[in-house]
Amino acid sequence: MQLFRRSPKAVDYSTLTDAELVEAARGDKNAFGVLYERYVKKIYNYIFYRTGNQHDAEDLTSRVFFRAMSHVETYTERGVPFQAWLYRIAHNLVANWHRDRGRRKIIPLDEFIVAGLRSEAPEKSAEDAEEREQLLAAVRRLPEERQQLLVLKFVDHLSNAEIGAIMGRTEGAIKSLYHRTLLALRDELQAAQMGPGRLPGAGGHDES
Amino acid sequence: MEERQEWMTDHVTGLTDAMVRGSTYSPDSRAADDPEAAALAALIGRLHGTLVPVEPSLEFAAGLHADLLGSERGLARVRQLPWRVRIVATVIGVVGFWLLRRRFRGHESVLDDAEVSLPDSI
Repeated sequence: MQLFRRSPKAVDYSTLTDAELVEAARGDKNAFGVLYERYVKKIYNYIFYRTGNQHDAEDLTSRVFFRAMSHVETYTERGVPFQAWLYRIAHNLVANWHRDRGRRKIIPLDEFIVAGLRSEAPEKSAEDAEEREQLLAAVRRLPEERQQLLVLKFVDHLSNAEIGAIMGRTEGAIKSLYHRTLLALRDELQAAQMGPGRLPGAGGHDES
Repeated sequence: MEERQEWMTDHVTGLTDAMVRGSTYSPDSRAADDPEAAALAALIGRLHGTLVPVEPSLEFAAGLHADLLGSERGLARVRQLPWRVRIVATVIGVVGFWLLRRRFRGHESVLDDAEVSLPDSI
């Protein structure tokens, strides 16, 4: 009688694609661990720039992965790759976070500035801090989807096609939205330089 | 007008993608003479220098990994065991618990007897 069976050999999941890992994660949570390692930094960055602080970024990142793990068995690709699915979970949680707390307008920028200045000399840091603060404040006044686009492009380095999958748009629509976002941001910065009394709220070039 | 907008859209997208990925981008000569293209290129450079990736703390990343997989890993190992092993383990657990309980009860009754037999002078 074969009472003790040998456990199956450990599989090297690191070489598998996301779709293969998702399939494997339904039977072995170690496969989900590889997906976690693949995406935790990107999701954390996305949430950090959308919430503005480390504490909430950690809390919401945890929720994204717990939610993904509990639903991975029922997830089917259907044109939405796993990466886009994760970002959509993150986006929904961030949107709820903004709605519940009504914090969108009062996000402190200090942590952004500190993060951006870590690798620079102190004198250059002081010089650039104000300029960065102005730019970040202008970014935060943009409509939510434009902020999302800038973070996905500059912080997470995603392609237009990947951003399109996350935002549910075509690659061409993303390119066009990006161009309009830059024009709106330029107008926003010019308005801020003219004086605090005239803040357009990124209304210009808003066709989306 | 529409052609210019299309060109500008392609130009800013190509420039941004090259910048964030550290690859090369060769704009056509039109970009050099276009003030709007220059202004947007400067803005893209500022965004690239400001929206920089951050690192989650190692403590957080490792802790979340453990939280996600810790309990699941234990359950998964149990599920992978052959059913005979699971039955044997359950029987051993139940018998062990019963023996411990019996022994503890025996110990309690010894203590009760000791209390009863205390002399009145104390």
